[in-house]
Amino acid sequence: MTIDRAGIAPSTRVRDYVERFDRFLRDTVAPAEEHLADQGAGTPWQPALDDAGRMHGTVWQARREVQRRAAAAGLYTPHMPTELGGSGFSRVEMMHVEEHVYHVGGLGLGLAALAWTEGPGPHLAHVGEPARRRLLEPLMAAETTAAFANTEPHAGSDVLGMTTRATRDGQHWVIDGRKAWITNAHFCDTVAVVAVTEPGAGSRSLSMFLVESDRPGFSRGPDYPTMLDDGLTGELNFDGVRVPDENRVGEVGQGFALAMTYINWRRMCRGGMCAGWGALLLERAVRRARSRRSGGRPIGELQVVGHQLADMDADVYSARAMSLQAQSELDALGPFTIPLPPQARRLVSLIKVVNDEAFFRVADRAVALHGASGLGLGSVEEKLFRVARDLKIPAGTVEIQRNAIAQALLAGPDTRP
Amino acid sequence: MSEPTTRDLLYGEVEDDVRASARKLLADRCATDAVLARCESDEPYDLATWRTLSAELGFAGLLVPEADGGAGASAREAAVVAEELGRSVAPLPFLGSAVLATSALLACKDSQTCPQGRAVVRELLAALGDGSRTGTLAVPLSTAPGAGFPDAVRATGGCLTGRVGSVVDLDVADVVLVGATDEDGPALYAVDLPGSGATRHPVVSLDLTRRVTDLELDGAAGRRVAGAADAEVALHAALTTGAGLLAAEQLGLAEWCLDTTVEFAKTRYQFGRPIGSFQALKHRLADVWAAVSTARSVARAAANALATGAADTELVVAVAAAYCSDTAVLAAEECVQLHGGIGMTWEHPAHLYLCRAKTSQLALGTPDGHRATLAELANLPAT
Repeated sequence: MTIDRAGIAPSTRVRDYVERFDRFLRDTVAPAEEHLADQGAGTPWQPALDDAGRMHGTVWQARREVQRRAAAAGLYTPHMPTELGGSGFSRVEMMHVEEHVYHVGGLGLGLAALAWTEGPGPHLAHVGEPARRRLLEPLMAAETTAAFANTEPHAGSDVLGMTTRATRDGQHWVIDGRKAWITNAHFCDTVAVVAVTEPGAGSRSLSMFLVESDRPGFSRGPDYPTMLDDGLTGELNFDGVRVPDENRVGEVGQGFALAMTYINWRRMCRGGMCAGWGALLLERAVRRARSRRSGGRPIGELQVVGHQLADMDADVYSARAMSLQAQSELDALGPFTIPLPPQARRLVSLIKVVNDEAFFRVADRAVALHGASGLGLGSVEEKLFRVARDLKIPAGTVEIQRNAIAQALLAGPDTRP
Repeated sequence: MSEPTTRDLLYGEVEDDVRASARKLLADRCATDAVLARCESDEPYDLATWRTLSAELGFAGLLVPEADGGAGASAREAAVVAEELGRSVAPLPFLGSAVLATSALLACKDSQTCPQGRAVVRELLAALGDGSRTGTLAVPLSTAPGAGFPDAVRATGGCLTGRVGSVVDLDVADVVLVGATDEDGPALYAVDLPGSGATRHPVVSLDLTRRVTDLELDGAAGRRVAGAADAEVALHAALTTGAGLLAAEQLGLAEWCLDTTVEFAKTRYQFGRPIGSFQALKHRLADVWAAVSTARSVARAAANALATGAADTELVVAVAAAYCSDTAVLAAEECVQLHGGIGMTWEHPAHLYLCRAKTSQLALGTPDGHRATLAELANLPAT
C-alpha cells in the first residue's frame, strides 16, 4: 500500500523552534544546571534519592522550573493541537524537534523543556470543556504534572487483563484498583487512569478518567527502584475514588483506544529520541576513538574500533531515516485517529522496534568504545546504556510490537511479491 | 540411575582410527575438485567409493550389530564418519542408507506387531550394512523427529499407493522403507527398487552433493516389516538418529569451512599483508571458531546420547540439531564472504558447502522447530 506523504525536511517553524530552544538552553537551562550542580542533590540523570526512594526534591523542582519557563516560552507543548494551546506540529516536525532536544539536551535539565510523560499528551485532546479548563490548561502551562496509569501488577502487555474498575454512580464514577510501574507516580497532580467499565466487552471494556491527586481514596504506593535509578517509578492506589463524569476522557468504552493513543505517542517519540541520543553517542565515540591511544596510536586506527563506529553510524542513520519516513506516512494517515488504521499501527510499531533495538546496539557499542570509563556510574554512556535497555520494555515490549506488525501484515491486503 | 550423557565426550582411540580411515579414503576419492566435477556429471553419486567405504571399512554397517552382519559400533563412531563426510561434502548415500533406513530397521528387529517381517529386517540390515544394497526412508527430507506418522501412502493387500516428496538418497536406493496406512493402521513396508508400480521423479535441489527425489507408488508391492506402534516407534527412532548424526555432519562441514578460511587468510595478501592480519577478519574467524567449538560439544553429546540410549536423547538431539544447523550455515557463509571474489566462483568449492549447509539446516527439522521441541521438553509448550 502506498501512502501519500509530505516531505521530511524540517519546516520553517521547526527551524524557529530549534533556534528558540538553543537560546533557552543557553540562557535559562545552563544557569539552572550550574545552580543545581552546587546543591548536592545529584544531577538530572543521576539524581540523589530521598528517604522514600524518590527523585530528590531539589532535582524535581529544578526540572519543574524548567518546565514552567519552557511553557511560558512556548517550547513545552509543540505537539499539542493549536486549539488547545499547542503549536500543532506534525509528527515529522516533532521528530525534528525531539531529535534536536535529545541531541543538544543530552541528559541535562533541557530535556524537561519538552513535555513527555509528565506533560499533556494527545489522549487529552479528548477531554470535555470543563475538564479542559480545569485540568488540561494547567498541564499545558506546566503548572501541574501528569501521569498515565494503565499497567497493573498482573496486567502488563495484556492490557485487557486489568482489574481496576470504574463504576457509575449518578453523575460520578467510583474507581477501585491498583496501578503499577507508573512514571511520575510520586509527584503527579493529574492521573489519566484506565479502568474497566464494561467487563467482557473486549476492546470496548475500558474507559479513561482524569483523577486529581487530592481526591479522597487516592494514594501513592511504594517506589520501584528501576535500573533507570531516577526515583520516578511507583504504584498508585485507587480506593473508592469518586470523580465527576466530566473527568471522563472521551466516550465510555473508548479507554483502550485512548490508552493506545497515548502509548502510540510514546512509541512515535522513539524516532527523535534515538536519533538525538544516537547522534550524541556517536559524536562522543568518534571523539574518544580519535583521542584515546593504545599501543602507541589512536584506537580509531584499530579496524574493529573503526567498524564499531561504522556500525553505530549505520544504526543511527538507518533508524532515523526509517523513522522520518514512517512519521511522514503517519501524518498522512492521522497518527492519533480513533480507530487507528492497521497500517498506522504497523508503522508505529516499526518505529519502536527499529529504534529501540538500533539504539540498544548503539549504546552497547558506545560503552565498549569508552572502555572502563564507559562503565563509570554517571557517565553519559553508562546512563544511556541503562536507558536503552529500559526502552525495549515500556510502551509495549519489542516483542509486542512484532505481534502488532504481524497482525497488520496478516490482516492487510495482499501486496505484490 | 542412568549415566549422565556428558560422560566422556572426547574422541576415543577407535573413533580416531575411524576418522583416520575415513579421511584418507575421502581425500583420495572425494577431493573437492572431484566432487565438483561429479556434480555436473550423469553420476552425481559416487557408488564405487560408497562400496569401498562399506565393504572394506564397514562404515555402512556401523550401527548394525555384529550378529546381524554389521560392525557393531555405535552412534559415536557413526558420528565421526558423518563429520568426515561433512568435511568432504562427499556424494554418498550415508544419511539415507546407513542412518535413516538402518535405524528404522533396527527399531523393527523385534517387532511384535509383524513377526513375519523379522526375516525381511534381518536380510535388509545385512545387505545395507555390507553395502551390497543401499536403502532410504520414504519421508520428505524436511521431516522433523516429532512429526506424526505420514498418511500419504495407503497399503492394501501388500500393494502401496501414494506419493512422498523429496526423499533423500532415493536416487540410488535399492530398497525404500515406506510408512503406510494399511488394514491395521500404521505400518512400515520395504519396497524394492526398481520395481513395478514404483516411480522416481528427480527433484532439483539446492544441494548438488545430496540428491532428493519424489517417490510415486501406484500399487507397488511391499514387504511388511512392522505394524501399528512398532512402525511409529521405528520412524521416530530413525528421524531422531538422523537429526543427531546430521548435526555431526554439520559440525564437520563447519570445521572444513573454518580450516579452509583460516588457511586462506594466512596466504592471501592485500594491502601488502596477509588478510588474516586484519583485526576485523580475525574477530570473525574467532566467532566461527567459538561456534564450531560449541557445535562439537552439542554434536558429541547427541551422538553419545544416541549411543547410550540416554533418557534425555530427544532433548540433546534437539539442542545439537538446532545449534549445528545454524553453525554450519554461519561457517559456510563466512567462508564465501572472507574468500572474497574467489569464494563466489564456481571453481571454488565453497558453494558446495554453503548449499549443503543451507539444505541441511532445513533437513530433519528446522532450527526453530527443534527449539520448539526443546520448549515442549522444558514444559513450555508453544501456543
